Amino acid sequence: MQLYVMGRIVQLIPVLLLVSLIVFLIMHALPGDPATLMLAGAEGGMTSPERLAELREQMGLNDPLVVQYWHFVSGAATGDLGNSIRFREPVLQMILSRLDSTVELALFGLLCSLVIGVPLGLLAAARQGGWIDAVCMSLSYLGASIPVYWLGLMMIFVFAFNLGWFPASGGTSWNSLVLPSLSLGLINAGLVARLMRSSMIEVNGEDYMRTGRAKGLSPGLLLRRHGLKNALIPVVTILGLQFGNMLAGTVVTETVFSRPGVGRLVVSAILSKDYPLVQGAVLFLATVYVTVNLIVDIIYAWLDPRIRYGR
Amino acid sequence: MTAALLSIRNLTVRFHGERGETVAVDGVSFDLNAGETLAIVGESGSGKSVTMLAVMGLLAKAGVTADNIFGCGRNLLNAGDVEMRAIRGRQIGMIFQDPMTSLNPVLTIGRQLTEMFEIHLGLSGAASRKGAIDLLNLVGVPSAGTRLKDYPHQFSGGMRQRVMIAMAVACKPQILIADEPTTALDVTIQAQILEILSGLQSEFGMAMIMISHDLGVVAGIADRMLVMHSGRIVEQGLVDDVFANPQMPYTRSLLAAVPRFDLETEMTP
Ligand SMILES: Nc1ncnc2c1ncn2[C@@H]1O[C@H](COP(=O)(O)OP(=O)(O)O)[C@@H](O)[C@H]1O
Ligand SMILES: [Mg+2]
Repeated sequence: MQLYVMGRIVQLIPVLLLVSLIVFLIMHALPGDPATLMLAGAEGGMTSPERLAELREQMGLNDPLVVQYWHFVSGAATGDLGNSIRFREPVLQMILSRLDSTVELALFGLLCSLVIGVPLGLLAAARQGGWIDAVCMSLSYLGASIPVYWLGLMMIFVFAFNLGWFPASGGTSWNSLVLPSLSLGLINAGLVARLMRSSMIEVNGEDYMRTGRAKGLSPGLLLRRHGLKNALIPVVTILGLQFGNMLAGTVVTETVFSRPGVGRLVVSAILSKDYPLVQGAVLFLATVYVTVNLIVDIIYAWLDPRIRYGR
Repeated sequence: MTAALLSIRNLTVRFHGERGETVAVDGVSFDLNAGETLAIVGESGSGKSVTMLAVMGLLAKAGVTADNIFGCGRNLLNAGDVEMRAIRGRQIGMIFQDPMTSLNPVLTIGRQLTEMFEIHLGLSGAASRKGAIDLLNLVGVPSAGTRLKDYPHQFSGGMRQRVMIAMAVACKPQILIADEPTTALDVTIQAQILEILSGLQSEFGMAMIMISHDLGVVAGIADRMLVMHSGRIVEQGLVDDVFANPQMPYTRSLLAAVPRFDLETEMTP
């Protein structure tokens, strides 16, 4: 198992290099010059060509692309993602100071989708073809077809304005987390429920489940000990792949609920063309993404011994 | 004559599919006596497996009817869920055809063995662990103590079938049902598995139902045999009698299809 984890961590390095290269190239292909923007921000548009040339030299923008990329990557490797043009603060610090809010949201969103989706899927599988199944599946399709921002707004309308149970925006107290993570979680809960249902139905038809019944196991024990772990394997896989959607979802959710997170930071950085901030944040989110996928793979290996032992 | 251990009268199983109803088992009646080995033979799809699954109460979505299913001193036809669970694995053990898919891939062999002691005998911890090691030794799995931690994919097909057998006989059941236990295995392994089964049968004094489409298997191991064809029993009797003097044309065609290794070895010195 340890060997497996080490191997997987080593595999991340080329992936992250590739991501950094792509981010770097996109940033350099986009129109607009960071030095011009920086001066425009600082001196109200009064940009003398000498000042601009000086700054370009200072920022290393005249160096060959390879050298500039090297600066970006070697900086990133040591944790230096450069400074934001607009805020003149180190990018990494800006991201880190907003990270716990985003991680909190993503984790609770994930938790909501599991807590709602897994039991719903199991229930539907147990009552396959009955009316409970039909209701569960209709709910899951409904959940999957509603846009995150709309659900967020409706939740604000009902639970914040009409009922006044939770705050509509902001993000420090615990109850300000409820509506954002519910709206993020409900969207994925439908997917989880449908996966869980089909996976459980398939597992129920497997030979080893018949063996379990022939051994005299009660339905509850058979489900918990033999069925659930097998049925969760595809669900965990898909959830890992879905984590990208989850991150994208936090961008929208944070904007709707005015939560101070990384997602909202990226949106405002894009709007103000703060290239170092966008570049750094995207690389950072990509790192988070591959790390989470690694964690998912480790959970997957724990669930399924055939992977753990390299078969 | 003593009362049979298992007695089935007029068992009928219907499946309701999209294209109407199929009758998989059609009025089957037979007895199994204590300690004997009864073979059920017949081509694939003739209803052998469905018959035994119906007796075990493992056909959830099928229509099972019978005049009478009497086994291990109980009326199995009207037994409730809890009562059936106490019989499955405890009084009637069952082994299936494909050892590659019949064991749970995500649980260790040890866990799958010890749970038999746990649910039926109330044993746990060291006692059930020792029981599991004894069982693996009994069915000839080498270095049993260390192999308890292993997962099914770390075992060969033959070894997995040994584990399946160990599980089925863990609680010393009165009846062992073996549904084509050697069909998925290499010929060399087949003989070993059959040897283990008949050894266990005499050691534990179990009655055994050996399902097979291979008459060569039946000849070596069974006392009596039933021949099934499209859901019905078309012939039954002592194995020697049926082999020597088959009454039905279907049985004759089955016998004709078997290469007679026993005769060939006698003829070539
Ligand atoms: N779950 C099921 N649903 C519908 N038909 C089934 C099912 N299981 C078995 N059958 C049908 O019942 C018949 C007997 O099957 P089976 O008892 O498995 O044959 P075998 O003698 O090879 O063991 C076959 O025609 C098979 O298609
Ligand atoms: Mg069969």
